[in-house]
Amino acid sequence: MLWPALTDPVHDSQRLFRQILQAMSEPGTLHELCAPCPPRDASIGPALWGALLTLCDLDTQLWIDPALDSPELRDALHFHTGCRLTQDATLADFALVTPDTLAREIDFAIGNDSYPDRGTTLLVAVEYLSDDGPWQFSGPGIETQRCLGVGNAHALMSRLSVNRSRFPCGLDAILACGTRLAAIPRSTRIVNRQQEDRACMSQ
Amino acid sequence: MTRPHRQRVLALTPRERLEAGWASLDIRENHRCVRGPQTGMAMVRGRMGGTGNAFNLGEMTLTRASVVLDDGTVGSGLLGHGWVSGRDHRHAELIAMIDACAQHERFRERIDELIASLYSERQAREQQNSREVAATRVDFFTLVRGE
Amino acid sequence: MYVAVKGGEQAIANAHRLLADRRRGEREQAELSVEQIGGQLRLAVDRVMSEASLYDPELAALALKQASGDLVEAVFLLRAYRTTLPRLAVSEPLDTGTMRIERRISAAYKDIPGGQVLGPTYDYTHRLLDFMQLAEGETPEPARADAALARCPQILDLLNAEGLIEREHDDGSEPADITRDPPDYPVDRAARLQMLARGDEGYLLALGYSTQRGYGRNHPFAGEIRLGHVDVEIHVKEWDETICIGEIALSECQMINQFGGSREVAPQFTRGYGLAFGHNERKTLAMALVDRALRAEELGEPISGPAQQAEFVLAHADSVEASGFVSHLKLPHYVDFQSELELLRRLRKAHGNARGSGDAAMEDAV
Repeated sequence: MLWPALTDPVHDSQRLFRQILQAMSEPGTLHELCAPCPPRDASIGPALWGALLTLCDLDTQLWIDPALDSPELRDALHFHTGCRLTQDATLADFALVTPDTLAREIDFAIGNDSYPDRGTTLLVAVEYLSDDGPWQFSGPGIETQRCLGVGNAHALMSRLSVNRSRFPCGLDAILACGTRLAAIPRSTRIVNRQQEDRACMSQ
Repeated sequence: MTRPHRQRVLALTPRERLEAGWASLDIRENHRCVRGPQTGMAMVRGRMGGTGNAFNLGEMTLTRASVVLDDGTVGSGLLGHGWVSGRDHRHAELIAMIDACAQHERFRERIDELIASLYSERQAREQQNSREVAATRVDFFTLVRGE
Repeated sequence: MYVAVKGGEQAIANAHRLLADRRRGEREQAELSVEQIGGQLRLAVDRVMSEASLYDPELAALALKQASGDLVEAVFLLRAYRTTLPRLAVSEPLDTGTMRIERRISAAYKDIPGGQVLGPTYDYTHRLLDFMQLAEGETPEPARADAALARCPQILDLLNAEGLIEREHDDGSEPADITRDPPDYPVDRAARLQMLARGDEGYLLALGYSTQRGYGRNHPFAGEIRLGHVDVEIHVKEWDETICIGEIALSECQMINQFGGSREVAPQFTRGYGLAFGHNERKTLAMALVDRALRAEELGEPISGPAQQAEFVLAHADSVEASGFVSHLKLPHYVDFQSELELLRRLRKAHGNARGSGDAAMEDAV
């Protein structure tokens, strides 16, 4: 029952937090995280494990999709972060999910007008992450536009693209694959280039 | 001897005393920390009226450590944990190391003897203190009223 | 209005050096150690811990040394340090019934199990300056009874066979935490007690005093006051057990107050509660009085005194907040003041013109 964690918890988590902050402030940019290997039976990569170790503590509630849940992950999370696990997604500060999770009708917290910060931050394990793909972002933190490929993640991206209609409430997302991480905050406008192209052609 | 009892005695023993007691056992096991030692806080709760609903009184400093013994021959992989009020990393690490060692049959008896003697030292101190306080107990007496 | 002002860097650096020099005092004198402060000024240390809302005697003593004995500054220092630490655990509610007693008295019942135990108290001292302390004489050992103290159970529940005193039950509810969720008035009793526990002693004392002088009178009796040490326990998932992490010194006051009863409830004594880190007896007495005063609405009493006005009482109880806001007046408000000056000049001019033209009109009439 040895769970790898940050070797120097204070400085490592500060370094990782800085990277996550950078990813959030420049949506769609890719960041390589130097983070420990996740627990053996967990199907997440080091970047997501590093993000969990950095962001979770005794005061945070985490919702885990059953597809990613494992006893060892739970034990390791509890041991190192002390975060509480919740079955109720509307109470979750963070949610560990796959893109498919968003295909189901799960109500995550989106905050309210007085406290928009109380929305859930999605920590998404994606199978593919590159700066070349069909999703085109614009908005704060993006000079003109930026592209991202996230593999087969339609449910996730369509859920995030309706964020704009509820602003300032909404969901923020951190996407990770292996040691790579990118973020899509609620302020980002999302367009699918392929769909647009098809729409153009059909006209 | 239960783990919580051992933990309590170790947490209530001053670190210098614990250090000396541990050295006297001459148990030399290499260990490494897998969590901490880390200083943080515990939120201390009280109860309204002593027995009612809980409320948050305030925080206290708390240090914790978890270690694993390095030596393969004593079945490494068993975790030892320690928690102690205050900010003394070494104290928490010592408690965790003693907890890890105490899970091994060949150390347990010696460790339990140490715990027992630390416990009786503490009880003697408490007894002494209690006698000093007891000397300030009021003995009421009723004055005889004259006819 | 705040305006960024640059300059004075050298002056500030030198002010800090001067402060350090004045704090140290005459170099021929031995320097005060943190251990000495912890050992010999322990009531000041306890007050700092209580109002900083952080139990750590060594750090509180350090804060006192650094603050040259300024309690409010020391509270600020310790409270600021507190924000740098992560919260690792939440304790089980303290069981003050198991307290290792230093002092325990009741002003309501004379004969109580365990007895009236005076402990190390300033009560019954003559408040005459003791010039022996100037002479640094030897301090004698304390007297020792032959036997240790008998068990001292909580007496309010014990002596309440007739049910004349309100009982406190645990309904298992999770208490509010003002350090996580800012208070949104009106707040419940758990939040009130948390705020009072970190409140400034002088402020609570004045408010408690005001209730005694008739501003929200509630006829208090000190049911039980106790000081001593209590184990702090946390539940650890690693073992699925509740374990002791150490002990803390505590003061507790159970106040009994009169209550006329209502249509639903027969007349009975109600309660106010005070609990504080360390040896802080006066604070817990005041806290219990104010806690009871703030229950006025719940008990259907008229709200007539300042101590019964929850938002007023609670929003101004914290010395760090209060001293911060008052002290900010020392920051440069140069531009702010200039604009006020301008405004005043214009108003005076307008005033003068109005009077001038008024006089002219009068003259016209004549």
